[in-house]
Amino acid sequence: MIAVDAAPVLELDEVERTFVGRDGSEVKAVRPSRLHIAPGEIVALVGESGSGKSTLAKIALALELPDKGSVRLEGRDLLRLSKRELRRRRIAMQPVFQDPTAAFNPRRSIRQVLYEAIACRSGHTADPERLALEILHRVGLTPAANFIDRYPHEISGGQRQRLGIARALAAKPKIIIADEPLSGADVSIRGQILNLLLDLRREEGLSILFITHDISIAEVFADRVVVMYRGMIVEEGPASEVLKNPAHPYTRLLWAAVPHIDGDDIEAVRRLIIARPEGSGCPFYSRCVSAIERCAQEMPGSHSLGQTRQYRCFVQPQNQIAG
Amino acid sequence: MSAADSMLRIRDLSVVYEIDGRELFAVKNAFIDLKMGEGVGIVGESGSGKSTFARAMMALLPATNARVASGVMEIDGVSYDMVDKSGMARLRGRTFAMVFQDPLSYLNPLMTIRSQIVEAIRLNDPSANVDHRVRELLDLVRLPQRCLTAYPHELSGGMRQRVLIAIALGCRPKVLIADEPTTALDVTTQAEILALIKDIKREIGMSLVLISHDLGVVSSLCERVFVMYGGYTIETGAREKILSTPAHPYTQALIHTARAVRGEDGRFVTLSGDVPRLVEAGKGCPFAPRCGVAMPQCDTVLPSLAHVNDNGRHSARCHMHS
Repeated sequence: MIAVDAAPVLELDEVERTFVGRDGSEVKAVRPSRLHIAPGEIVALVGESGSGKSTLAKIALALELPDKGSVRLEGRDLLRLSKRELRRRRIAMQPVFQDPTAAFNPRRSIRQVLYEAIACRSGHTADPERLALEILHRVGLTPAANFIDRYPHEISGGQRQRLGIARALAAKPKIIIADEPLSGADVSIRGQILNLLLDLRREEGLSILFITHDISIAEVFADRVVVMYRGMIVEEGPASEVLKNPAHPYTRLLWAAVPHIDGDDIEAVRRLIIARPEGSGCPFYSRCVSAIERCAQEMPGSHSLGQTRQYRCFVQPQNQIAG
Repeated sequence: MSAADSMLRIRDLSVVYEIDGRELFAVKNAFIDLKMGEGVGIVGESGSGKSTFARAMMALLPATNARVASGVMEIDGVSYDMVDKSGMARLRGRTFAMVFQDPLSYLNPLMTIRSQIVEAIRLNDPSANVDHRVRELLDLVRLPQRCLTAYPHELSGGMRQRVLIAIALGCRPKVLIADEPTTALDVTTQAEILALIKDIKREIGMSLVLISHDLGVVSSLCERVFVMYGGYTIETGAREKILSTPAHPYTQALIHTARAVRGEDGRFVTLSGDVPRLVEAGKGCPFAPRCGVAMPQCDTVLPSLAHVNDNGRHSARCHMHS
């Protein structure tokens, strides 16, 4: 199902982005980062607010330009393309947004929304109506004929998030980049959206970059998880392995902080929460229970763990404090 | 639970919204009870009526189109008619205090943290030793002294929520009502606030009504759970019973979703359909349209609340148990 050896659909290499405030202060939103996504792969990009995950996603979509580095989509460097060529190529990646209400023009019917996306496809589409109905059916907005002439505000929030996915599909993408697509959805709706994305991956070989603050969703949904903290990718690897056995103290903290319905997690997470003055080295130093002296001054390099995992920490996983 | 154990009992609470000339129920025959020092959770999705329930307790419903249609509250043996809005409003502060999801919109941007905490203290006790009490409250919510001179925008989201908790506790309420107090926070900050509420509850013997869509959050602070759906209280019991042997099909589905259970085909166990919005009175079970085990009578007859087990402490509103 996941062709890991195949050429990646999306390759971000050594991308970085620093925002400069009016007073000249700098925020390193994304420190030099590498993110590759294989065809049919689901990658969860996890982090809290301010981690840089949304900036990294915007860089992937070429909506935000990196200060340095390259963004390659199906092997082509997007940053070197002409504007026109960029618009044409970029159709292969489609965003799905957090707030499906804000994502639609309220004056456009579902038919108009989908026709516009279908028009982005290369080549002429003989029967856009049939295709639009097919796509609505595909995302579970059935009977499709009842939905096509309605407006986004006339359907429920869960249905609107499906419509967001339908619009992305209408452009026939290779990869979907979804920024917190579940955070507005009711708990009982979440499974429906996740199942739909799983089906699309299985049946159409879509890749998915799934941006979330919720590491527990990453565990059950993604093939690979990439954890960010203040612009730095601190750990990445197969989701099940990373979360069963985190190799970075921040991943441990995130995982322990999720209030699971079974078990008294508060007591475990208490041991992992500290605060100390910032250092000039690792950005996580000020909150890290496992930190050693070196962490205050030096930026840790990337270490491998087996074939598939990487983490950025001076302290070896077995010496880190567990929750 | 017998009436004697409870410090707070609410029975038969119904809240009506008038929309386009129609009367729609946001809350219908809902109830809770609470012991001294206990934490209870009201769990539900958007539209379940859980926040409306809390606002009815605080007499904070929107005056324009919402009203309490019925409801009786007993607190420490005194009975109140919840329809009487001004009577209920007098309980605000000393009996109930509330903490909200978004602290920034409940703090005054033009006042320092200290003056907002002082305001709450004076409201309860005009002759209080203010400096002493402010220090006490700051210690309780683990905020440093330097926060006192700050304005709300200068604090982080987690610190603002601590301030809001300090203000709520400033009136020495009997019950703290917390409506999604950690939903807007990052997960690590959420853990800190949950740990704080748990400590405060223990340190001052505070009773807590926690309103949340997140069973994990409820389960970390509450001994008992009330599940709401479509305005009704559809199941109640001890946390362990609700989690291990949920009786209502909706509670079962909610727990499956919270545990992210995947079936043999690798797909997530889901509920079909959507959460109902406001309900019209006089129909059958509100969950029937989405229920996998619904019977013909579920569409027409509202099930009554029936004991499931646990010596009558676990009940559900479902025809399978009546």
